[in-house]
Amino acid sequence: MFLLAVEYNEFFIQGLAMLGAGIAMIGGLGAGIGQGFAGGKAVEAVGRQPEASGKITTTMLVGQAMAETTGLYSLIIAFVLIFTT
Amino acid sequence: MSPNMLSSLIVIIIAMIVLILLGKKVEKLDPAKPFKGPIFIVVLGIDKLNEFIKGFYGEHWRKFTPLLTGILIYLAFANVASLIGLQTPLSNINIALSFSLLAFLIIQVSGLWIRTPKNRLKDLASPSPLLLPVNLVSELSTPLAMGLRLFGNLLSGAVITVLFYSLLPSALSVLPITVIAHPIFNIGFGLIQAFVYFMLLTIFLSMAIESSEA
Repeated sequence: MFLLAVEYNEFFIQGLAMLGAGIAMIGGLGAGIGQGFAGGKAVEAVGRQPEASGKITTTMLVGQAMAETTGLYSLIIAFVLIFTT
Repeated sequence: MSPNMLSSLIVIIIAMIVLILLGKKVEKLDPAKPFKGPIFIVVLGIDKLNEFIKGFYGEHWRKFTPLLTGILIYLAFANVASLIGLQTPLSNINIALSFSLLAFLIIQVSGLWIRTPKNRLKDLASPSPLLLPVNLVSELSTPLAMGLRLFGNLLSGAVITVLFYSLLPSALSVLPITVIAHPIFNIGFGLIQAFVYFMLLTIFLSMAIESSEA
């Protein structure tokens, strides 16, 4: 009986960690919204000024990589939850 | 020694060999004739980089160009290393955090060296002395974020590629992975992240060394 409880607790912790990893990835939502916003604004800018498209693309990629940071933090937390429990 | 560190050393050796060969070729060039082929691309790229860095640093550009270009070349080689079967060096958190330490040291040492300690302290307390702790925290957190960004991107690329490989049966998986997964997660994200690290280091370094009054 006691052994069963220990085993149960072990799997309980692991399952909750997996759930937590899934919940942590909700943070990817913000990064997606931010990147889409940057991409949309870049398309508008290219439409208004097509000759500057090279510079706009570079700026857009750098800005998107910046916006990706918060999503990557949640990804790191999810990896930690999965691989350390 | 972890496989990531081993592949980091291998990447350094490959980059050194490539750069020495390119340097020998550039030395032998005749400036009167137009350049051709890959040498033209290399010369054009270095020229663009110099112009880019000159725009940020003005008179100090010769001090920082070799350092920044070296970091960019190492990252560009290291992030595509998994294409030749090595483990991506930056997917180890020790190597990624050593890049944070590198950025922190570069920014602080050159800020103290070029701006002198007194002016640097004045810059840190710039809008008002009450903001000094906030500025100190931001000096610590930006390099940390730079290293963690590299780590997260490269690790997620490696994990997603491995997931693709384990998802599909091996005979089927060769085509979609080589056509879709490797170009996106190894070449695309890797090169973009190398350029982003280089660009952020350039911007924060130029913010640290230029006077706040000018």
